[in-house]
This record gives sequence, structure tokens and C-alpha cells, in this order.
Amino acid sequence: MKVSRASLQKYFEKPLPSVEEIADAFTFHAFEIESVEGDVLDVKVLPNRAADCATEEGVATELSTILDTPLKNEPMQTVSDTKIRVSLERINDILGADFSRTDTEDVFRRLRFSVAMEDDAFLVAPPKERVDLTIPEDIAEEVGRVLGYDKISAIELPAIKGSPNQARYHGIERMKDQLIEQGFTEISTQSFTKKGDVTLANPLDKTRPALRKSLEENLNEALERSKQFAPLVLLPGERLKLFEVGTVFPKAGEYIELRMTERVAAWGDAAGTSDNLSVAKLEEYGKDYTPKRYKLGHYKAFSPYPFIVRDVALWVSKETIADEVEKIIHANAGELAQKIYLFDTFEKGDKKSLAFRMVLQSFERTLEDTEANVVYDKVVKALQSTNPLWQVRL
Amino acid sequence: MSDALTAKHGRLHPISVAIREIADIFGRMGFGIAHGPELEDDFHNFTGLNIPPNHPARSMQDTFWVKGEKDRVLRTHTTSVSVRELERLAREGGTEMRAINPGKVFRNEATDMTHEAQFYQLDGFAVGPPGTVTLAHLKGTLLRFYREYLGSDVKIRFRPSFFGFTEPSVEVDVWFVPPEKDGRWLEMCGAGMFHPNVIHAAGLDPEKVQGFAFGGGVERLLMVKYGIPDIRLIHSGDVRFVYGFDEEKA
Repeated sequence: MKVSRASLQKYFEKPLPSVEEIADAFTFHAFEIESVEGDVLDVKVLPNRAADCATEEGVATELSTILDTPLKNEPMQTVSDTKIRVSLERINDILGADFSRTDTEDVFRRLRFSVAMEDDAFLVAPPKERVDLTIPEDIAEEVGRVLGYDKISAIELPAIKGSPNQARYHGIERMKDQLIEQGFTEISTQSFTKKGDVTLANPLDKTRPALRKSLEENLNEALERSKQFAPLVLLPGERLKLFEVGTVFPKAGEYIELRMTERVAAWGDAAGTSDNLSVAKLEEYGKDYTPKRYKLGHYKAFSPYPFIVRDVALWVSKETIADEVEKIIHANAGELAQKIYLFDTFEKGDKKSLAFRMVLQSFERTLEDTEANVVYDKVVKALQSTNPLWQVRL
Repeated sequence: MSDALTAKHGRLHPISVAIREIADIFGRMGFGIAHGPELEDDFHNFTGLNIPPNHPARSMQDTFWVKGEKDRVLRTHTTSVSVRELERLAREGGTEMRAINPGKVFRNEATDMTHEAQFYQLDGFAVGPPGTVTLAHLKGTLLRFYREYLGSDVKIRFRPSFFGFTEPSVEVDVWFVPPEKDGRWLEMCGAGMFHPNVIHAAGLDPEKVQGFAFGGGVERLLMVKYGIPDIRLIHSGDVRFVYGFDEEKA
């Protein structure tokens, strides 16, 4: 609901604080503020408060509560028939707080509750408009938000007896670790597909209205697509092998499938390219296993444009260190070089051959062959001038 | 070609890398890992979570329904797994439990750089006898989690909110300082204390068992931690994304 500071001011005698302070009061004590434009606030009234905050007056009443500022004309108070019995102890047990009776009674006053005592508990009757308040937990929430959740401390849970059960999960992750050791790379794909046994009544993409029966199609598609990027991610001679673990939805019922783009040779002839993990003894397999952990660096975006590969091979003395040659290539290849690596080396007599690959790619445009040649020529010239004994094989 | 030049191992997907780290942090706080189906019945996704038919909360999440089957939906949150775990606790006659349920969820909403119709959710809960698992424990648990996952300078704050299955309900903001950038508050998850109707629907006694629940997107955590600009890269099946990080064994 959009409401201006000026229109809210009409409900108050005392001048209201700045629009920013009003926005903060709502944000931390009642409702999210979607935007502030000039002196107009867009108040996102929560669905359970639709009854009492549907009008400007309702929003002003809420503001009066959270700022603890009286309204010019107090509304005619009609008390709800609902009486909620809640003790201070119960409120503090829910919030994990140590609020006093005075704090709590003050919140009740600001909320215009009518309160009686019954034994040691409050008997709370909220205003009639507050249809959202029916149970002790509702009252605890009112106390928590009006006083402010910043008043609730952060307390850690006490230690628990025994170790938590993560065996099944560790079983799945052990399968993945095994495949990674075998040179497979994990991918993640979409569950929606063109045809399947389970179809959605309201698909988002009308061309993919069904749920996948198997991971095979997505995996093959990903492998086909990835072949063209191989030089960006692999060394020559390496082959992309992919796998995915995900839920599939055949007629007989969903299960977790593990699927690979090829068999694992090391696992023998009986091993296929897929497995139903839902029937595997995962708890047993994972109960004493600790999954391997990886630390990842910051994400490096890839270019959507095609790349060009240029190889540089040269003869050097046996003692020459490949890394030093690579550094010179790096220093001269410029920013188009996405990847530079040694891919072949052998010795012959007192000489050594080094072959480096440069993967060149622009983030702004499709690279021309002539641009790649400029980079290549610059690198060759730099190598030749660094050491006249190095022979670049042109 | 020399052997040294051939890569020894493949790559683990960043979502798996993240969930392993998350599982480890929660494991140290006594949380197990729970699993449940992606195709759910209405009870575990909605009714058991105090979201009855025509309740306003149902309109807050756009649900995929299965054609020809009134009772089956693609789960909109893994809180459905929490319901199943609470039912198990009731069958076993216990009063204490802690678990996280990381898994795929589905929302029928348009996709853009920060929204996908399918993503991973990190849901979790802890329950115990009244007074032992409180809103303050929720704050302590989440603060420790975000500090261990995102860095020690993280701060968190709660804002009032509304979810059918929690009362009180809060939004959780996390103060995060990305490398070489200014710090900012990020909306990271929804949370609160289980509504007594949820405890009751699972077959437990709300007078004897209370606790907190929380849920947020795993991709959002990843995007924040590693600076990933577009959520749609993550489940695209594109290997360039998986290889887009320097990787070292931790």
C-alpha cells in the first residue's frame, strides 16, 4: 500500500520523524517497505494483517504502536471475543529472551490490548480487527517484534548426544568422489523435459511439460555441447567424461539416478552407465566415509564468443625450465589469451622440445584469424629475442 | 606425451562443493541430513505445514501441479522433508531432533538472473522440549552457520515476516563484505518458530515439543560467496561453469 508521510501525519498530533525513520520502524517492527519515493512509502502489508492494515488509518495505527506515539483520535475500542491466555514465562520460552513483566505490559498497552491477570498468566483480548491473533505464539511474536528482534541474543544450541546421522548423504557423496577420481566431471541439469511419464498440469515452458524419466538425454546433450569447449577446460588427450546424480520420474515412481556418459573401465565389465541409488545400501556405504572437501576460488566468467587455438613449439637447451618460457608467452600474449599451457615435451640429444598451446578468445566479439596471428607473431618474436639459441619451429 | 600432463581427476559441481561444506558446519552443531521425495503429496507440502486449501500462503508460492492427480505437486520447499522427519520423531516417541534437508525444489515463476523455476533449498529445523530450542537459538545457529560459511565478519538481523508454518516468523538478513567491495545487507532466508499446528499435525504434542525452522536458496549462497552473476548458469549442464573456479583440495 502506498502512503505518504504527510497523509500519515494527519492521524498524529506530534510531528512524525523523517520518512527514512518511518521506513526503518516499519521494516524492523512490522512490514517490509518496498520503496520510498519522496515522502511516499510503499508498505508491503503482510497477508495475515490484511484485516487491520487494509486502510491508511490501519497503517497509521500500526505506526502509532511501533513508534509509541499516540493517535490524534484514538479509535473506538472494540475488544475481540478471543481471549488468549499466555504467561510471561511462555513468551520468554518461545523467544529465548528475558523480557520483564513491565516490558511486556508496555507492549500490550501500545498494541491496545485489554489485559487481565488469571493466576500467573496474562489473559489478552486484542482489538477486534486483529483477527490474526489467536494463540500464545501470536502474542510472543507481537512482543518480539514491537520490542525489536535485535533485543534477542544469539545463543548456540547445546551439544547433542552422539553424532548426527549423515550416513545416507555421505553414501551419495562417496559415489561422486569415486567418479571424480576416475576423471569424471559432475554436471547439473534441468528436471523438465519434452516427454515423460509424469506431466505437469501447469508447465512454465510449454515445450517441456514433463518430468525426466532418465538423466541420459540431458547428459548426452551436455556432452555433445561440451566437446566444442574442450580446449578451454581440458588438456589435449583428455576426454570429457560427465556424470549427474538426480531424481528421475518413471511411471513406477521417482528414484535417485546416477548416470555417466561412459562406463568406468576400472569397475569391470559388469558395471554399466547408470545406477538406482534409491535402492543402493547408501547408509552402509557412507557411514564411515568423509566426503572430500574442495575450496573454490572466485568465479571466472567465460566468454560467449568462439575461441581460436594457436600452438607454439620450440627447441631449447635441455636445462631450460619450461615455466620460464611459459612466463614469456604469458607476458606477451595479451588479454586475449584465456589459457596457456605446455602440452607436449620431449628430449632429443642435448635439446628439448616444448610445445605450448594458447587458447585465444575475446569477451566482446568473435575473434578474427588475423587477430590470432598478431598474437602468435608477437609471442614468437619475444621468444626469439629472449634467447637467440631458442629455435621456434614455424 | 608425459604422464604429468594428464589431469588426474574430474570436477565436483559447485552445488555439491557447497552442500558438503554446509553439511559439515551443521554436522558440528548436531544436525543430521534428511531426505524426501521431490514429488510430494498435498499434506507434506501444504496442509501439514498449516497451509490449508485457500490459505493466503498458498498464493505466495506458485506451485507446479501434476496433471490428472489432485494430490501431487512438485515440492515448493524442502520443509516437506521436515514434516516427514517430525512424523518419524512422533513414531519413535522422541522430543528432540535436528536436521537439514538440502534438495531440489520447484516454483512456477518466470526465470531471470536471480530466479529459476528449479533450485536447491537449504531447509533445516531443531526441536526439543519447551524453552530448550528458542528464537534466540535460531539466531545463534544461523549466525554461526553464516560466519563459518561466508566469513567471520558476517552479522545477521531478523525482520518480522509471515509464513503459515512458523509463529513468530522472521526474514533473515546477512551482512556480507564481498572481496574488495563494500559490505551490504542481503536477504538470505526465511525462518521462525514452528507453528503449534505443524507440531500437532506431525503427531507430536506442542506442549512438549517446540522448535525453529529455516529455509533459503543454496544458489544464492553460492552466488554471494563466489560472485556468480546469473543463477541460470548453475543448472545449465555447461561444463565451462563447473570449470570456472580455481579448485584446491581443502
